[in-house]
Amino acid sequence: MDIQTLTYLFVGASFALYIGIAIWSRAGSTKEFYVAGGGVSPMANGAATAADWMSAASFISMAGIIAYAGYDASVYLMGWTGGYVLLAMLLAPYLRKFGKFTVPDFIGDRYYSNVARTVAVICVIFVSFTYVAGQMRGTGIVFARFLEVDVNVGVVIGMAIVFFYAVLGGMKGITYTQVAQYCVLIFAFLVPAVFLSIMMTGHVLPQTGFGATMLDASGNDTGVYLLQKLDQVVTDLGFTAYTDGSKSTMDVFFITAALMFGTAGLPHVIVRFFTVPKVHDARISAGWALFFIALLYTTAPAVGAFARMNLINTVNETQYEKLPSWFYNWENSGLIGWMDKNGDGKVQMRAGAPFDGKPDYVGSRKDVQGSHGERMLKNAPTDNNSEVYIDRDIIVLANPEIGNLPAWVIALVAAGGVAAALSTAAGLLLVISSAISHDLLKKTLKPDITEKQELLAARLAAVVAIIVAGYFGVNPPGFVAQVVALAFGLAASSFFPVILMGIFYKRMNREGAIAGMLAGLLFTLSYIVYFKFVAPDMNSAEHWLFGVSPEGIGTFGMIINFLVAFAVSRVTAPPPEHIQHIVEDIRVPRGAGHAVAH
Amino acid sequence: MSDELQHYPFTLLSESGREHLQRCADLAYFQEGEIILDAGESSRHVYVVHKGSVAELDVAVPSERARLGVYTSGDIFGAISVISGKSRYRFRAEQQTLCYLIAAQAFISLCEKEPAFADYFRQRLVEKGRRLAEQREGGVTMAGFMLARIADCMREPLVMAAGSSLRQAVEALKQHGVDSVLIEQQGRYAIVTKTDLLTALVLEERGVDTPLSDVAESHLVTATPQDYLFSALVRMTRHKIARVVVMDNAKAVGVVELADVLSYFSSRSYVVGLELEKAENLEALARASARLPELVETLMAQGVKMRFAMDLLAALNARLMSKAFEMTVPADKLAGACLMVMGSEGRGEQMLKTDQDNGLILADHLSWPDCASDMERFSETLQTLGYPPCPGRVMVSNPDWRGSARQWRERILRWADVGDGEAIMRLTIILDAHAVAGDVDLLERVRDALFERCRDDQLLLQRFARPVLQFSSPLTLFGKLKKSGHGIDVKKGGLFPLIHGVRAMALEQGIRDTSTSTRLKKLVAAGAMEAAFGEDLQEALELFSELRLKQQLAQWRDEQPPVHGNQVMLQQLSSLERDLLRDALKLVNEFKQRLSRRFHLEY
Repeated sequence: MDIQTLTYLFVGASFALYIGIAIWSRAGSTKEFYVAGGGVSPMANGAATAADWMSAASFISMAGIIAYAGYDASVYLMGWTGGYVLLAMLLAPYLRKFGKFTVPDFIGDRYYSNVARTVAVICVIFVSFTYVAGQMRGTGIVFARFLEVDVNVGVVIGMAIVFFYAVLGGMKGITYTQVAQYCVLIFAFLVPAVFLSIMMTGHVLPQTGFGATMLDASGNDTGVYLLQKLDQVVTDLGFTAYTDGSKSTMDVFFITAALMFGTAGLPHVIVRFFTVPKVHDARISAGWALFFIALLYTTAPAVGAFARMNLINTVNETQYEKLPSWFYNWENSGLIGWMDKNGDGKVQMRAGAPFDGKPDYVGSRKDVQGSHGERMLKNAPTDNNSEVYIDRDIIVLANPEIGNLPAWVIALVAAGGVAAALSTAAGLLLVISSAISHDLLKKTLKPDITEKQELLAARLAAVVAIIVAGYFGVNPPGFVAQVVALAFGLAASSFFPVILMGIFYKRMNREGAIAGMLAGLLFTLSYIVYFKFVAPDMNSAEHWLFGVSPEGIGTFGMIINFLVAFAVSRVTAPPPEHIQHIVEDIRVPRGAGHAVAH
Repeated sequence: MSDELQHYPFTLLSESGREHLQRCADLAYFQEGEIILDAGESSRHVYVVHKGSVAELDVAVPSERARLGVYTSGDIFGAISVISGKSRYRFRAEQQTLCYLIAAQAFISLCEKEPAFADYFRQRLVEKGRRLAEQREGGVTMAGFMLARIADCMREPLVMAAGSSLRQAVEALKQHGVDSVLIEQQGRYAIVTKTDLLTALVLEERGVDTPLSDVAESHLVTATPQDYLFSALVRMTRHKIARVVVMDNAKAVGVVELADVLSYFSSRSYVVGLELEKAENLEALARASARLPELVETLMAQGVKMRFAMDLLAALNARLMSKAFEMTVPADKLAGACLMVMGSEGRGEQMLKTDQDNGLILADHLSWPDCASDMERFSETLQTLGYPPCPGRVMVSNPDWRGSARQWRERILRWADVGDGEAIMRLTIILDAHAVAGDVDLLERVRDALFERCRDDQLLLQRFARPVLQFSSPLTLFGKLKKSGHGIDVKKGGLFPLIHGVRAMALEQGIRDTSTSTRLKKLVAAGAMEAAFGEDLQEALELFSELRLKQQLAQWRDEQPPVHGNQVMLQQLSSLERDLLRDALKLVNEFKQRLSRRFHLEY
C-alpha cells in the first residue's frame, strides 16, 4: 500500500475509534445512573489531561523549532512544562475549592467586580484564540501533505473536522476518547523517534540516544557524539552551533518565565482538574499527566536533533533531481521552496533565509517548472548563498520519510498530528464559546439573555472562533508566532498575578487587582507593539530593556502588576469581610474544619 | 381544486407543488351516511372536502361521545392516516359530500419535497398533546368528578364579625345549615368549625358570650375557584382537615366541605382514601394499601391528568406511611423525629408503590435508645404493606439513613466535598426528600444546609448535573425513534435526564419544592427558563410518565415481574403517541444541550 492509502486508513481508523468510544460510553443501557466522574481512574484522567495539554504545537512544531533553533528553543520545553507544574500545584487546587468553573468567574467573584471579570474574559479569549490558530495551522499541514492539497485547503478541511468534532459531535466530555487520543499521539510520536534512535545511535530510548555516540551505515560505533557531530555540521554550514544559544541568560530566563506564567492560566486545562471529584485523585492524575507529558517533551529534543542531522545529510549538496520524493511532495504543499541561486542544480543549505518571506510560487508545478523541474518562486532572493526554505512545522511529519522509515510509520504520525490538534482545539473552542456566551454576555453585558439565546450565542461564537482561527492558519506569515508571544506575555502580565494574589493574599482588593492588571497589560502591550510593529528594525538586544526580548517582557509586566496591585491595595479600602473569609477558607483543606461523624 | 389551493396549508407549497396537486387530484362523491374511511383501515388518499361535511368518529366509545370533529369545505382529513399507515377513527359523510382525493403516494412525496408543508402535519408536540388531553377531559366531565372545578362545588361562606359571640355563631350555623363560619378582621380571615365550637363550649367551658376571634383558627388552607376539585381533596388529605376555604383575590368566596366533595364523588377511588383514614390497625392499613394500584388504574381509565393523579397518590402514600409510622413509633418520640420519603415518592411522582425510599431525622436533643429496633420494625411493617425493601438500602432501617439533624448536616457537607458518583446520588436523594410524619421543620433545616453548601459551588453543580448526559437518546441521527426489539427505555432516554436536569437547576436556583412540575414552574418564575420551554418540558414529562405507567399497570395486572418496567414497546403505541414520544425525546435532547452549557458539561 502506498503512503496515501495508509494515511487514509490510519486517520480514518483513529476517528472511528474516537467515535466508537463516544457511542459506547453513552449507549450502555445496563449502566447505573450516577457513576459519571467517579468511574474514571486517575491514570486515565492523567492521560486525558495530557491530550488536552499537548497541542499540535507540542506535537508538530516544537521538535521543528528545536531542530532549527537548537538550544534557544529549550525555553519552550521549560516554559510549557513549568507552566503545567505551576498550574497543577499552585492554582488548580485552590480554584477548585473556590467553586468557580472558569478563571473569569473566579476573578469576577473574588474581586466583586465586573470590570475585573471582563478584563479576564478578554485575556482568556485572546490566549485561546492564538492557541487555536496554531492548532489550525498544524492540522492544515497534516491534511495538506497527506491529502496532497495546498496547505490552505488543508486548513479549511481541518476547520470543518474540528468544528464537527467539538461543536456538533459533543464528544469532548468523554474521558476515554481523550485517553484514546493521547495513546494515538504518543505512539505516533515515539515510534519514529525510537526507530531513528536505533538506526543512528543503537539506543532504544530516544532520550538516551540523544546523548550517545553515532553509528555508521554498517552499524559500527564511530565514537563521535551525536550532538558533537551536529554542532560541527551546522557550524560548517554557517549556522550557530546547535548546542549554543544566541539569547542572553537573562532573556532565556524571562521568556521561560513568561511562557510558564502565561500557560499556567490556560483555561482548557484548568477545567480538566475540576472533572475529578476527589482532591486526592486529582493530585494523582496531575502526577500521571505530568508523566505522560514528559514522555513527549523529553523525546522532542532527540527528534529535533535526529531530524536536523538527517535533513542536512539528505538534502545538502544533493542534485535536485536525485532528492527523495518527500521533498517534491512538501514542495507541492507549499512548505518547501528551492531557488537555485548559483545555478549548479544542487541544493545548498546555509545560514540565513534564501529569499524574503514564505515561498510564493508561479502557478503549479504542472504549469510552470524550473530547469530542474522545481516549482518557480516569485520571491526576491537574498544575497547569501542559502538556497532552500523548509517550513519548520513539517519536521516531525517529514521525519520518518527523511529517515526512510516504513510507510505505516509515516501514516501513524499523520494520525497522531490530527489527534493532537483535535483534542486541544476542541477544548479551546469550547472555552472561547463559553467565555463569550456565558462570562461575557450572560454575566456582564446582557444578563437578561434567555437560555436559548445563550446557546445560540455559544454556537455562533464557536463558528466565528473557528473561522478567525482558520484565517490565521491560512495567513500566518510570522504572525502567529508573534501573537503567541504576545498572548502568553499578556496572560502572564495581566491575570496570573491577580489569580495568585486572589488566592494567597486576602487583603488584595478590587482596586488593586484592576490597577495591577491594567498596569501590567499596558506596559507589556506597548513594549511588544513598539518592537514588533512600530519599530521592528530596533528589535535587537542592544535596544531592549535589560536585554529582555518582547517574547519575555511579559515576566517584567507581571512584576509591575504585582507591585502596582500591592501598592494600590494598601492605600484603598480592604475587600469586604465575606471575601476575606472565603480567601482564608480556600487555603484550608476541605474537611479539616469539621469533624467527620458517621 | 384551485379554490382550496389558495388556502392554508396549501399556501405553504411552492408554485410547482400546487400545480402538481391541481393536476393529480381526483373528485369523488359520497352519499349521506357513507363511510369514507373506517377506523383501522389503511388510507390510500388524503381528502380535501369541497362541499358537504364529514364527521370524525371514535368507534371505541359510546355513540353519544363518539363524534370528535366535523370537516367542511376546505378542510383536510386522512393525512395523519396516510403518514401513520392506518386510520385511528372513522370518517362518515354527514350529508352529500364532494371530496378531492390526493393519492397517498403523491402526498408523501410532496411532503418529502416541501418541508414547510410537511411540518404543518407534524404539528407541535404541545398542541397535539393538548388536543389528546382535552379529548380525554371531555369524557371525564361526563364521568363527573375528576375535572370539576372548585367553583362547581363550593358553598357560599358564612362570614361574621370577629366580635360576634359563640352563641350568635351557633345560631347562624343552625340557621344556614353549615358546619363552619369565617370571621374577617382587617382583610384577614379565620375559621371556626363546629368542632371548635364544641371544644370551646363543652370541653373548655367557655361562656357563650366569648368573642369568636378567641377560638378561631387563623391558619387557613385555601384554594382558588379555578383549582380542580381534586386538588382540594389532595389538600384535605394532606392536612387532615375536612374543609378548605376558597379565596379569590384575597376575598373569601366560598368553602368546600369534605362531605360535599364526597357527595360529588361517585367513583370508588376515594373509598380507598377513606379506608386508609379509618384504618386503626395494620391489617386495615394493609387492606387499604392493597387497593392503591386499583385506584391508579381507575384514575387512568377516567383520563385524569397525570399530575393530579400523582398528587392524590402521593398524598395517599404519605398518609399511609405516616399512619404506619405513628403505629410503630412510641408517641413521645413523634414530636422529635421526622420521617421523610425520598426519590420519586419524595417528588410525588410515584404512581405505583415501589421500593421503600425513606429516612429519619431526629432532633439533636432527642434520646431514643430503641431507635434502631423500632425502625427495623417500621421497615418490616412497610414491607407487609406492600413496599419492598430498597435494594440500595435507602431506608430507615439502615443507620446511614437516619441520624440527628446535626449528623445529617455533616453528612451533606461530606457528600458535597467528596462529590463522587455515590455522594452525588445521596445528595440527589436528600434533595428530593419530603417529610411525611413528625416534625417537618427538622427536614427543612437539614435542607437549608444542603442549599447553602451547594448552590454557589459550580464545580459541585457540574458534577451534580453530569449524569443527565449518562444515556444517549433513543433517537437516530435523523431524529427518528430507534427501532429496538426490547422497546424504548423511557426512563433512561427521557424521564431521568428531564427530572435530574430540572433537579440540578432547582438546586442551583434554591428552589425547595420537590415535584418536577412545581420546580419547572418556579424555574420559569425565577427567569431561569423560558415559559414556553417550561411548558413543553412539562408536557413531555407527563407523556413519559403516562407511557411508563401504562406499561407498569399492564404488568401489575398480568403479575409479571417488573423487569422491563421502563421499556415502552413501539408496536403497542398509536402513531399519535409515537409522534408525541419522538417530539418529547427531541425536546429532552435540547434540554440536555442547554444543561451542558449551563453546567459546563462539555468539558
